[in-house]
Amino acid sequence: MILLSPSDADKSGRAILAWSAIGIVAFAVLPWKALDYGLFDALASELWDAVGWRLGVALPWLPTLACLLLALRPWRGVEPGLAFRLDAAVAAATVISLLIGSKMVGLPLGLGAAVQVVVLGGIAALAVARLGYVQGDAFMTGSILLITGLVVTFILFPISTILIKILVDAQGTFTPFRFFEIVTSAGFGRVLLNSIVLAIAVGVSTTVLGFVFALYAVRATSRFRGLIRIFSILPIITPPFVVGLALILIFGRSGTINDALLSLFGAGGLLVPEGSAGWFQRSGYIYGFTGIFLAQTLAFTPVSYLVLHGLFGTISPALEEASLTMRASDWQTFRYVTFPLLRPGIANAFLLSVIESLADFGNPLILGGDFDVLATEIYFSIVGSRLDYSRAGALGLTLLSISLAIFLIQNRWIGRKSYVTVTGKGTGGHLTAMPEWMQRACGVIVYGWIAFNAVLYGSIFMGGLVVNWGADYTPTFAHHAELWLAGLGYGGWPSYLNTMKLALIAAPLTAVLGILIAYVTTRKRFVGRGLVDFGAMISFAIPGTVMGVAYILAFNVPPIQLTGTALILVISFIFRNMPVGIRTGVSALSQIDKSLEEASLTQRAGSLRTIVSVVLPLLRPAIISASVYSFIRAVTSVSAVIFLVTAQTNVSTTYILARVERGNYGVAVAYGSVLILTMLIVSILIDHFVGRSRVQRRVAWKERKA
Amino acid sequence: MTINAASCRVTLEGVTKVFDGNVVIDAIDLDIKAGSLTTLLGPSGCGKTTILRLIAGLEMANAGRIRIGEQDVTALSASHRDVAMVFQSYALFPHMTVEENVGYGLKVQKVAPAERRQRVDAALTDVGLAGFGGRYIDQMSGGQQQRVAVARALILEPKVMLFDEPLSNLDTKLRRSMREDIRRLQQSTGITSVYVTHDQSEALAVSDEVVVMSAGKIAQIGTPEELYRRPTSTFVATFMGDANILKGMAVGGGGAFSVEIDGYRLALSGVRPGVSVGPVNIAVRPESMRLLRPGTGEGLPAEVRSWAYVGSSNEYMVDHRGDEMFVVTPAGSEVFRPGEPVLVAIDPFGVAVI
Repeated sequence: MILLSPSDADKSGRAILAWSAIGIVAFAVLPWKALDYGLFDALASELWDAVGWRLGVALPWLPTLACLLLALRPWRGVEPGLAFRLDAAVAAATVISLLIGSKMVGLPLGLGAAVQVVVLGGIAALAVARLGYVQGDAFMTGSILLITGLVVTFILFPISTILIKILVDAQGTFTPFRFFEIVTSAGFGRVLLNSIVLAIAVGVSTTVLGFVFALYAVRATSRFRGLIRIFSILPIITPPFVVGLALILIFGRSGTINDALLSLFGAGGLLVPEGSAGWFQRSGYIYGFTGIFLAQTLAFTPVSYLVLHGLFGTISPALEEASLTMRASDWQTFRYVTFPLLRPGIANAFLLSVIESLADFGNPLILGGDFDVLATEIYFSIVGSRLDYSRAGALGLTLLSISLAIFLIQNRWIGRKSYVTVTGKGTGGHLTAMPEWMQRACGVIVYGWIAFNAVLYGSIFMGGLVVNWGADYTPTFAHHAELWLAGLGYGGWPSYLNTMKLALIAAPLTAVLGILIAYVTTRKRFVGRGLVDFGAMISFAIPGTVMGVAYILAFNVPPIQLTGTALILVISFIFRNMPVGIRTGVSALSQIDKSLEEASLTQRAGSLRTIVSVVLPLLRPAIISASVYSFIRAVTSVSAVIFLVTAQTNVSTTYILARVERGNYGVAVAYGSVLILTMLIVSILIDHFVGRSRVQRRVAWKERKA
Repeated sequence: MTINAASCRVTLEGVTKVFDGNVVIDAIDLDIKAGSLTTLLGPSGCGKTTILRLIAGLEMANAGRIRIGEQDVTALSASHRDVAMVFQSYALFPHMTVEENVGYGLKVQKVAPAERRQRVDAALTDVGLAGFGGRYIDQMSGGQQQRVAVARALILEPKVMLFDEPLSNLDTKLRRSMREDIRRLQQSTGITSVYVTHDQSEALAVSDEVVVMSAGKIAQIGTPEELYRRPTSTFVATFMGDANILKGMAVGGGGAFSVEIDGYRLALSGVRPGVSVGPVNIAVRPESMRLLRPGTGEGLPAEVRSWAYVGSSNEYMVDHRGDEMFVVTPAGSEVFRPGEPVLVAIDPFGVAVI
């Protein structure tokens, strides 16, 4: 149904020419093949040898000739509809055969090839838009193609390689029953049961605690309830396993409690008669279920607190007031009105904690002992000399299926229910205070928890300042000196700087990509949206360890060979934290009337212009907060990156874990405390910056009103 | 505002739009005359807004062609179509001042700041908002926001102006004065305009031509008077104000048609082409009916069921052999109480054979 005037068709023809030219230039000057040590560490001569026409292989000529063909467009004379179809077909066929060819020849694609793929995608987008798809909008079509391409490449493709790994063995034989052999093998059931029992226990404990906290924060009259906020933020900026470390310091074999009990009841203890062997020996009770359970409860209570706190705020006080006017007591009102309204939120908080617990890797790693869970078992299947990728794959697939199932329940069934109540409209009335006895009971739990946290965080900071926690409490700066005073190339600096650099690169990209996906999936209808939706959903549910395994399986061989580079870390940060961007984007976009964009479009602004001058300014706070949160998550994450780091690309979390494994608890907690301080400063600075700009806006607005 | 010399017609040929398998617009042909104000009128869900968005390029047709002037725009995006739209929610950018909102399109076109300022001032003056340029949108009243939206659309001197229920967020009084302003601006600029509304009195008041739509199809096209006086279907008759649908028998032929209802004969001045002798449905406007005491004239015998005094008139429900009829008589005319027998006399002027 192409009915363009010749001049419009010409304009698109010229744009296609320009794009093809870029593709040809990429062939002429850029390294076409991926370099063994990554782009930035390669020598100039290596770069030059990797340029397309110097490789002496046929493959680079394929996309280049396609670009040449598109530049010449021998079919330009034919009817425009057919011509644009041909453009799109040539571009698509080239990209597909390029990927297949690269896999067959074993030639990993590099920067030049990537540019050519983007060029061909751009041409396809132009041509498809000219055929009238996506409101005839080339930029939007291009964005959709890009997003679909990225989601398929970095989420769906890696997951599919896990499947293939299980279905096809190293010799290439089809092994349809391998998965069942693995999951029915000895030990698998125990690991699965461990994971599920732990997840449910953690889900219950965090939900109960989160509920109590939310109740106290919203309804108590105490002046100290502001403290809850601080302690709810702390675990978010702490790498989860650092909490586990603190537990070891306090409860570990040579932890404070053991020491105290030993000095009282052990051999030679204060309360033990002379000569007796004592009644107490050092105990490792913290390792195993107890320790993981405690660490995860500490780490994930804030998650359920934030979910429930958000929900408490949306319950209209008028409903409770209505109940009170009908002569219900405070307790009856809570029992029959407030609590039922909260029920979907409680289920939501529970399921989110279960997903978090299943995915947690760091705590089981350092506290697990003999208590194996799926997340760590995946790692142990690969690490060292076992290299059992099909077992890791089967474990990963099991874990992913469980997470995905829970996520679906949470999203489809409960998520929707609880969102119904979020209207954003404030209604009048005052919140009813809790009954006195309830307030007191909640207070005990809340302040107990806060005190416990204070002890733990105190031990993290103090642990780095004594010679050897548990044995020698002499104050020392030795650990910090080892980490930070040996020069920028030694101690903690390389991993610290590397982490900051990669997280800073990844954070804005994560926010932009997530918000773009949110934009495209909520505002546009297009073929393949189901694919993007599905990919986004997987990214929400996928545990980090599964993603790590999937990435090393997928990106270790051509066409896309990335293992060992810093790029794969950035990419894993981006796609692992993408849900943050998507969530923020969806909620921010729901506040922006779609007709604002349409108004801009009918004012002859293209969609790029519309996004830049209308959508982005309105989304700015969302972009900033999504960036900050992605940055924090990138710095504190461990599960996916542990599979992907090398000695050159080590990051803070893996460095700390390595020191824990060597038993250097002092150094580990010293580094951990610096990391926590860094995150604290970053979030306070940004909060201050964004918070102030918000205030400024309000003040300016008030002045305008006046 | 300068008069746009070259007004454009807008033509739709076999335009079809399908959303998730539902045919929302079903092969519509429509010719909107150059320089006219044409209203798309219909109940919600009839597809009128979709047609507007198809013309704007905010939706793409699944089949058919759309032309603006001589240019085929079917596959062009909204930003290439040279149309302007006034949105139901106004869609004014909250992060820009009035001036920036109105000048946005000019800025996109890279018009020099000096000229831009001048044209923005002129456009704001045209809509009666001179001096409001520095304000933010949330400092303007609903009516003022409406004017900003109109100014923003007018400033680009588009080939086609599209209005999507522009008055639905205003109160009744403001609505009347705004619709007159829109009509005046449209006539002085001569820009072809398409106007969507579900309010038939608004449609009748502003339009050169009205397109009544029902379930994705065009029910009838005509001038406001044609539609009101000569509806061709029950749907149009009842949608364009109240109507009593009665069964009758057409008799006569040539220039002199009459209709007989239960022996009560009405001589009609003109009927639409295509009506033949035989049983027909006729639509009678309630205000074309009068109530008489039995024996004082000709009419359909009936009994008053209910009576309501509504200030400017009396409203009756009367029963004629089991059929209810709605009758409106002027205030001050004789009042009949429920239960009284009456004769319903019909003024042939308000009768349409459908």
